[in-house]
Amino acid sequence: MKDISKAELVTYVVLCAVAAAVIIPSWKLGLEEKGELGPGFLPFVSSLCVLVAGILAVILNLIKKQKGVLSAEAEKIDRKGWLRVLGIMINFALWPILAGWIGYIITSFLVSLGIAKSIGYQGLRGPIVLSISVAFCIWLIFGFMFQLDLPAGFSF
Amino acid sequence: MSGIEYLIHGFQIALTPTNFLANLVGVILGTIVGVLPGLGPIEAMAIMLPISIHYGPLVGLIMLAGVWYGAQYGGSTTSILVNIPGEASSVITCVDGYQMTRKGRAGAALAISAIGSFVAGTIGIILLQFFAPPLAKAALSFGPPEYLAVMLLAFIALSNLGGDNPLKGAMMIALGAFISTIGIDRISGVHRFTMGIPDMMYGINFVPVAVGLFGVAEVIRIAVDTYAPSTIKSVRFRELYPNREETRRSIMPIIRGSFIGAFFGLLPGTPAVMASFTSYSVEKSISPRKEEFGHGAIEGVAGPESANNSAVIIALVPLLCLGIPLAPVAALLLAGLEMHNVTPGPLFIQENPTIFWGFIAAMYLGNFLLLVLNLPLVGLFARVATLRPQVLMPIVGILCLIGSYMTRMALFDVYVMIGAGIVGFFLTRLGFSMIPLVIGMVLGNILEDNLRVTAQWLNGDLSQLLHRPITLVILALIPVYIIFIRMAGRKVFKNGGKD
Repeated sequence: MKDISKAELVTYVVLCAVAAAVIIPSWKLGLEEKGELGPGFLPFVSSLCVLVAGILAVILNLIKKQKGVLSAEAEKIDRKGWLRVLGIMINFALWPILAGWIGYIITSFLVSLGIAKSIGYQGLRGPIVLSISVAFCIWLIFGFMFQLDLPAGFSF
Repeated sequence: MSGIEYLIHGFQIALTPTNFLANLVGVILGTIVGVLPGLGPIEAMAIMLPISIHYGPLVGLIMLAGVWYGAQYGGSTTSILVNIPGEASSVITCVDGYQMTRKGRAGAALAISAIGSFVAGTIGIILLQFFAPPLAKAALSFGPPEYLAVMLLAFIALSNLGGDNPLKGAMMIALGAFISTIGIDRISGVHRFTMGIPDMMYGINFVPVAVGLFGVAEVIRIAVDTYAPSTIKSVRFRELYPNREETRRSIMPIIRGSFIGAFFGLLPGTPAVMASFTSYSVEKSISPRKEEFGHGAIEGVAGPESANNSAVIIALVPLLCLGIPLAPVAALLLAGLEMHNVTPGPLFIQENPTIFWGFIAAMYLGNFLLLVLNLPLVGLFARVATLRPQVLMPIVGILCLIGSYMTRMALFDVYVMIGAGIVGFFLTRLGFSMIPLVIGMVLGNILEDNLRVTAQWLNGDLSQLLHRPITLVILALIPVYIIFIRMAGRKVFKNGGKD
């Protein structure tokens, strides 16, 4: 639980750092001029809110010594879990990289297969059949029926 | 034209093949997504939003609304059959609904839920139809300061949604408002936080962010905490009908639930959740069979199911009359409308009667479609919950990817979606709710416009806001609302939680 508390603290710090980093540029954009609000007003106020709420949350956490996160989901992710998360992220990232190159149909097949395997779909036949079906349906609905201009690449 | 003539015209519009098909597709998809664990109306609408914006505003709105109430009903199906609520407002239905399933009365619970949803939905639509136009007329007397006050009320009320700490909600809604300012400022033309990236000049689009926060984050979550698919008890067609005693006992809870839902629907925040818990609490308090509650009382299904359905429909009133969404789903509908350059507000009904009345009529039809589809097909829909996540998640993942690309046909949006998904996954795990972030993004630009107009109107002296009676009343409502919602919530949830 201590680690999770640390993770939460790190999150607050990161959010506060982002907010602090945009406060000065927001100020420079201009807050107010001749009774009119400048383009920096809302970014300034919103980043200030993030900063103040973040600092308050950290202080309250420390005062109340809330060691753990109250969220029901806040459980440690094991090594397998991290590998799955990584696998999913890589697969998602592959789609925009590959789609422009080999086209969305083959890319959708590959990414669907990758997600299925990353999430723990056993065997090969099932995931392949599923991915072919997904890619076919995507082509049928968005490419053939709706005629949308999806990235074609060299293949389609 | 009179109201009835407008409504008949609305039915003519809603019954055109395209609009009817959009309604049907929305209701079916919504119901299918609604029965999936972890995916509720917001997630379903976020995934469908990019697809809906490829059609006209009315078709898109009808489809999204269909998804919305379809998902709402889908959530109730799994609550009753497998004790897994599809979304928060169905939690209380689990208490007696699942007990009825265990007693072999699943069909009756599902039928009462469908009938209650239909009746309450219809009452909600009638109230919406009659109250929205006069309210919109009254809202015409609102000046920029009044709008700003309502916006502030919406911001504060909606920042309290979900998560385990109000400060986290405040951080998220403020972060959302900040993200909404990225891009070229519409008034001064100044680049704001674009970091020299050309795609950022047009701002961070709301749709890929919502798809990432709800769709991608869910895929990642399921990869980590994979669930075992439910085993659904099959429901035979002849078991679907409640007996005479169950029907008699359900009539009043459905009517009471409809009006409780209508009241809560006007409150900002999570009206459906509050309405369903309140209805349960009321039914339990006044029932002569208190001991049956928690053990399969039909009133415990009929009341809450009716209340949450009328609440979600009435929650549209502030959106259609003021252009300000006071509930998360209304914020998504607003985003969908804005993508078509249609801005709801006091003049919306006058300027867009086709959209408004077509939408009202489509809601009547959608409600009827839900009843007709769900009674015989409930077993089929429920079977979706038995699909393994390994089969479902690749489909959801690819839909998210294609959907976010379709928003502006730009790969940049896909990267935004992936980034939002990763951030959403980690923040959700740490107890942050993503709903305020999305609402902050949707309302950020509207808040900024209102702030600027009000400042100009008041010659830069925002303290004059306090000299306007309506503004003052709305601003005074903010603390009253927070105290009321906290106290009422605690009491009502406590009552429901006991079971």
